[in-house]
Amino acid sequence: MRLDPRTKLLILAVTSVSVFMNKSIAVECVLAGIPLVLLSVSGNLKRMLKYAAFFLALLLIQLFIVPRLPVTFGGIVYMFAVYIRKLLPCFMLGSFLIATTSVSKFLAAITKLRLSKGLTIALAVTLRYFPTMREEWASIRDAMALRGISASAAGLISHPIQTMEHVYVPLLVSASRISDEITQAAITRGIEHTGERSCIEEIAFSFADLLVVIAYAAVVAGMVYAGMKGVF
Amino acid sequence: MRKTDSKKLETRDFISVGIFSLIYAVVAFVIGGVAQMTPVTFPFMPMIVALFTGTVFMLYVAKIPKKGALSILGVIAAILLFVTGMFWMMSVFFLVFGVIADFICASADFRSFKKNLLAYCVMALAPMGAYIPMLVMPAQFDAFMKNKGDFASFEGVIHSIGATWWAIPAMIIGTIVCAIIGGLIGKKLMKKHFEKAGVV
Repeated sequence: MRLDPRTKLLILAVTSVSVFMNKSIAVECVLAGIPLVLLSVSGNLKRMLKYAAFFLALLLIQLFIVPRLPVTFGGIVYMFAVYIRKLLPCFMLGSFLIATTSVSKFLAAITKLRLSKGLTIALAVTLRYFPTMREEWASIRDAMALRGISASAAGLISHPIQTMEHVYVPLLVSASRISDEITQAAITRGIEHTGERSCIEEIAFSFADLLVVIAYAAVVAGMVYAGMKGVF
Repeated sequence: MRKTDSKKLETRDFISVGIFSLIYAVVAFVIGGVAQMTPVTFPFMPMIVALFTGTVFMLYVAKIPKKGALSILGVIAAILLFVTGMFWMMSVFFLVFGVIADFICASADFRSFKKNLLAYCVMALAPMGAYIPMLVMPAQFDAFMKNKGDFASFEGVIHSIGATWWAIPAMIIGTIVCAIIGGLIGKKLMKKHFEKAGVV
């Protein structure tokens, strides 16, 4: 099953808004259940089991442990358990989106949304620069270790400003050099061309997209209904 | 690259925007993620983030002193947060505060350090969006307990300690103070390294 990246963004938006407006636990289980299905269908079974166990544990804490605690402490536990649990469906959809969408597919979808061209370029660079930044960070850490400076959390807490300096200066200097290099490469390849562009990735809605959208429409309808009737 | 005097964003600016937005977002993300993991540091997340992103912000403003750049920073941070499944109010805050910070910086043509610092203070408040659900949670807890037939009131407890009314202003003030410190560190590092190295 292949979903269009735009569908994934849409269901992520629907989920993140409705999860906090929703009051019914039954609807919340459905909101968490659909991403679990999507994750297991796309072959991320291990991750799906981890999320499912976490969700269940938080739900059980709310239903069985909180009512037995004294009010103040129970309230704090409730806030944490419920807050994290409500974020879980979005985390799941987010990791589903990232695991199943290549950067070029995502960018092709963003281009089709017809945002301004500048924003599309900036976003493309942001996503493409991610692995480079990881490499740079690894080299900086190695260089720091060679000079006997620790880049760990302990070093950060004992000499915060110094550690910041050691990390930021090489990171930002190399970033601005790389940004000049990318600019030259991009201009040589005609990024400033104003006409319509073609794209090597083909993006189109399919039957699976329709199914998912219908499922989410049903969930939203169910949520409104549960809100009116006060379903648990 | 040849420097141009144009006030409008050009391709090379968009590319710089992309790279530095990612650095800003990743720093905020990593530091914020670590801070939110323990219940003790949880409320201090925006302040800790504000201390660390100052340098990136100051370099960003100095490197791309054009109207629109900070708005795009807000948009990209919002998209990255949204796609990773963070609470959506945080994305909205980044969008709105990015545009406001843009206007503040542009009003002084990006040259005044005071205005830039003010803009950074606004931008640093964006992670506060993560706490919006905390405002409605005590009422939900009470509703949950009432459903169970137990009339214990957590909201009442919170009101009796007087915790709700000062918590948010205290966090805002704390974040602004940390943003000022972060901005000053940024200014110091800029003078010491980046201006000498000819990055800006």
